[in-house]
Amino acid sequence: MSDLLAHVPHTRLVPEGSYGPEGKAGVRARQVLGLAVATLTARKGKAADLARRLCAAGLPLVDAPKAVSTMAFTTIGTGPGRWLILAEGMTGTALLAHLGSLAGADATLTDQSDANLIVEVTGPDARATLAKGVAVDLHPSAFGAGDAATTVVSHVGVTFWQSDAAPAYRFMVARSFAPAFLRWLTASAAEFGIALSGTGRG
Amino acid sequence: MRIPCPYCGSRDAHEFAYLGDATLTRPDPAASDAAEAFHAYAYLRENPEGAHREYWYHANGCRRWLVVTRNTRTHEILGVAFARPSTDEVPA
Ligand SMILES: [Zn+2]
Repeated sequence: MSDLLAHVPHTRLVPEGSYGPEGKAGVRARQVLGLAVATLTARKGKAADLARRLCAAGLPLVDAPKAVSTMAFTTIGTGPGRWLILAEGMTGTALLAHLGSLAGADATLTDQSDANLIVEVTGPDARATLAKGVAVDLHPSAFGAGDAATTVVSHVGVTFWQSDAAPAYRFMVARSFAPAFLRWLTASAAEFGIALSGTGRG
Repeated sequence: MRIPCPYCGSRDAHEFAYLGDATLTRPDPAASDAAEAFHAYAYLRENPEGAHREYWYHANGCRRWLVVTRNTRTHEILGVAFARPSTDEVPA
């Protein structure tokens, strides 16, 4: 397995394609594109007010490591009074303007749309693959759809959440660390076969 | 060793940075023995056996400071709380 990624420069994303035994894809991974991302941090003493107001406006904020999705938004708790907000079909600028109009002076906002790479991991061997690097219990009795965690995988900081009971997981990784994360994912999933898409041809 | 973070849940110790003794109080700089008191505050440490209160920073998690009560012989975690209790409470 040591030469699996020998041809891929360490500075580039692992190119889309199949890795591991031919004709097997126990794991599927794809880069999720087209999401606007912002961080929202409540100002001191304002978290409860803010959450109440934004919930009423259709933006559910739960002060816990949870991922909550509506038609338009996903909110993910990353720390007390701190969330990631994801939106589909919207620019980062538009998302920030929308959040700013709701939060007013009760929160600080930053546009993170360009900062991260989001990878969705699915397939029957997704859990067995993630067990090699995620030191959070992903057994369905401990972690299910709607649960989120900010942690470290193979020395790379990530925020991830389970987006579907199937299971499907979405990992958000700082863009400059994405090549290292994808190398870890590809090498860890290779014994099951992994079909990787959305990362370009290298 | 795993530390049950009040926000994140059970996490491996390597996600945290260790600062040390959480039982110390910063001395009064105006006191007549301030120099001696600050020397003790900055440099002198007990090496207690058993339960000990310590600061741990959840660097690769929620990025909050915790006070962890740890048994120094067994690494059993006896209690965890945010170092600075939040004034915020968000309804579930
Ligand atoms: Zn934490």
